[in-house]
Amino acid sequence: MSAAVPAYLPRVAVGTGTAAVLLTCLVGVLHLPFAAPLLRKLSPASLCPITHGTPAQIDRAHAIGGAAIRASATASAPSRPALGFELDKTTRGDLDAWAARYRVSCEKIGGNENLRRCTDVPASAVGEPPGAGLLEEVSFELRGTGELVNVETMRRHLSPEQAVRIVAEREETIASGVGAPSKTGGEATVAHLSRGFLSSYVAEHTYLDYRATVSATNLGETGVMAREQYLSVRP
Amino acid sequence: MRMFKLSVIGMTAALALSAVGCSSSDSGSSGSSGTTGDSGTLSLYERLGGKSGLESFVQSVVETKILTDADLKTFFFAQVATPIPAGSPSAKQIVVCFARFVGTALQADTYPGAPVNDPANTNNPNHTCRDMVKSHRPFLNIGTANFDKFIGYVATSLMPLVKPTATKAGEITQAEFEALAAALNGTKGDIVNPGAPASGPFVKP
Ligand code: HEM
Repeated sequence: MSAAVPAYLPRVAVGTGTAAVLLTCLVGVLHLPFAAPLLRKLSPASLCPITHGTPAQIDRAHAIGGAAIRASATASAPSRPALGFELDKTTRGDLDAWAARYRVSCEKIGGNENLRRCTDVPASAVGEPPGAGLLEEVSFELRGTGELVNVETMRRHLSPEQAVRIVAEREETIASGVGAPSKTGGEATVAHLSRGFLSSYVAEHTYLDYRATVSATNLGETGVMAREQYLSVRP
Repeated sequence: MRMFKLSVIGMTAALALSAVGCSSSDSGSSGSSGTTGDSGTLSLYERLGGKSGLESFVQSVVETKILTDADLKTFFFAQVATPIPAGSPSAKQIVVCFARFVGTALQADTYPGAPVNDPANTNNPNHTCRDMVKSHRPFLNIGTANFDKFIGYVATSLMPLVKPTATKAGEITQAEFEALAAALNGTKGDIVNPGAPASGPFVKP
């Protein structure tokens, strides 16, 4: 059974193993933030994009969006509902406690500590009526300084009837807190959402420090997608 | 190959849009997608604001929707890095390319056209717009749910422009909306990587 092992094999194995470990370390080290400029020089983006954003990059993307949103607003929001979370106050620790309380499974988004996505979230965990069913995703974004700035939800595979019920209920709840939407498009009706691919309804409530958006979009075979977003746009 | 793909999308959009023009639907389309509308009416391209209007529209979608989305923003970290890595366009260059892409589908612009200049993108100040496969599929690893979110944002940004009779700037008909939707969806096969996780953030292919 024991076949003779050529004498050079262990040396080759050790050599290959060492080379593999060294290479892995080198690639790992090159992906550390301080080595990013070097990696960019060595590797064109089309071969190896570095997409794990630093907290500063995540904040920068948020700041660009926030500034553009504020540009179309005229007043501060009378209140800033966000599915029971407090924008600019809720912390990562609060989110962990919330996830544990509702037995929700959450993970970092793309290895970024400040972006977090939770899947199959019961409606009751975000203060929605239990009949609203599971949310496919609830995602959060925290500022580099640790406070929550964005809560968003997604449900897909909905029938137009389900989507209309959900967006009408969500829109009513938001409007009762902050008033009528600043912009709407399409209709929250079964007839409109059934018209065809990408037929949509959207209501946006835009303020100098807050934007809430509710939308429904017909995705053809994937059914209707309903989304909500609650965003702090404070500078 | 690139020109073939684009002309298919362009033809789909143009055909759909010219069908709109021929229909007697009460949606009141001008029926023309290109730069000149029927006598006295504005073409769809003109109602979308022409080159600068389309660029502002795309910029607003990118800034106020895509960059505020917790998942989608992870695909654009090259654009918020300093400097932007070699090979990647800046947000400004993407906006110009995207607007050109839509303009070309409406037979009112040319893709890829001249290189797009952005001196702030020091590694790539003159970016030549790439086709949809080259600029997405091999390295962005976009799954279906992220594609859905992305076109959802485009759709919900276009939807407020839809009016029963669209004759003025900033107005489009439902039928024109549907034609644009079909043209956007036509890019799915080029952009989505079939092996990518459907949902979630950027993951290396
Ligand atoms: C209707 C669908 C889409 C269209 C028409 C579109 C169009 C474009 C255009 C014209 C460009 C510039 C081309 C170039 O870089 O030379 C671009 C780049 C880019 N797109 Fe898209 N896109 C679509 C969907 C998406 C989706 C779903 C994502 C991500 C989830 C995405 C992420 C990107 C990124 C990250 C770049 C820059 C690539 C780089 O850094 O090299 N796109 N897109």
